[in-house]
Amino acid sequence: RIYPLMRVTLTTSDGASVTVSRQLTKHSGFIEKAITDMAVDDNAVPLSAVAVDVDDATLKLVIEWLTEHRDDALPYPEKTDEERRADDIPAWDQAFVQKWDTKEDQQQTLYAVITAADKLDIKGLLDMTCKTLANKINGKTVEEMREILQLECDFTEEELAEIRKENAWCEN
Amino acid sequence: FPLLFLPIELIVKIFSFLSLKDRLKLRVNRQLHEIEKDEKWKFHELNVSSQVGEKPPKRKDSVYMTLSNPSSPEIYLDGLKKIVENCLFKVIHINISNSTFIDLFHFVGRIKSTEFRLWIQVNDKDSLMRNDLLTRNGMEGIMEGRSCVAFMNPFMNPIPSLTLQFLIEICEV
Repeated sequence: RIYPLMRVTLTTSDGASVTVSRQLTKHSGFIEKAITDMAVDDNAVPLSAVAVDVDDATLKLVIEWLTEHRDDALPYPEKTDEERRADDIPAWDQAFVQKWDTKEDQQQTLYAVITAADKLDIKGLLDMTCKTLANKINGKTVEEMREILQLECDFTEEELAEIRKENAWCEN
Repeated sequence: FPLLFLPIELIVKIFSFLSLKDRLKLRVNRQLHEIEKDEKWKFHELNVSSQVGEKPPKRKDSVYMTLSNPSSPEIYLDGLKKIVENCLFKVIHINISNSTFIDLFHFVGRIKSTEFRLWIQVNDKDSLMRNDLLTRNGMEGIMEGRSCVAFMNPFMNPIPSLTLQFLIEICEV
């Protein structure tokens, strides 16, 4: 059972505390498990703190997303490999991520939210952020991919030749 | 904060939203190459066609290989060998009329799938019999353990009389 009036206080890795409604935290498998493990009942103010290894700035973004998605159906629908697609990100979510473009390092924010969504087990947010990163890579050349992902080429010439051979049919 | 700081399962999840072509290209350094090497990617269909002008309606969960360069059939064979290592398909659709690709035809025939669709680019039985892509051994290998449908140009609908069994019978003539 979910008690929407219940408040949950989350303490971030940098010491900040944020109190949110259970209506939001019900989308986090990690927080729900923490509440269940603490065996709280419906009348109690149950949690003084659930410590999460996420910084304050990232948690604020997570809560903003949860607030928008508080009425999303649960459980989150799992997709099979064949149903996976990255072009179905809702308009609000797209605008939400685009706002990070104004931040100093947009990609760093994206990685931080992906990690937070994973740790907090928020499947909808994790899917959306993973799709966003996938869309940045989609259709790019190998060099562009390296630049986006900030990775150096460490292959030997022989290894590169083998990969080029296997990829020749799809390079153009 | 480069990608490789993420746990491997998250990297694999991000890549799972990409097309096969992008995943193959994503082997941009040794660590990503290792991560992707052991992955099995599931797709609905592998569509291999020598019809350059053909524009099939493309599905996001399918792989399309257009054989646009008949002078270098080996590049497609090399690509398919890599694809077979990492991919599982439900349906294989092959549309090859050019005997330049005969090795490719037989290789594709050996790729496992639950269904196989063969589109023969000939209009009559005589030219079918002359088609050197078709051999009895090859056709039996293709048919083994899965449902098969053959199509004949110019109609996309399967022709009931043109089953792969029928093609084998033609191969025997």
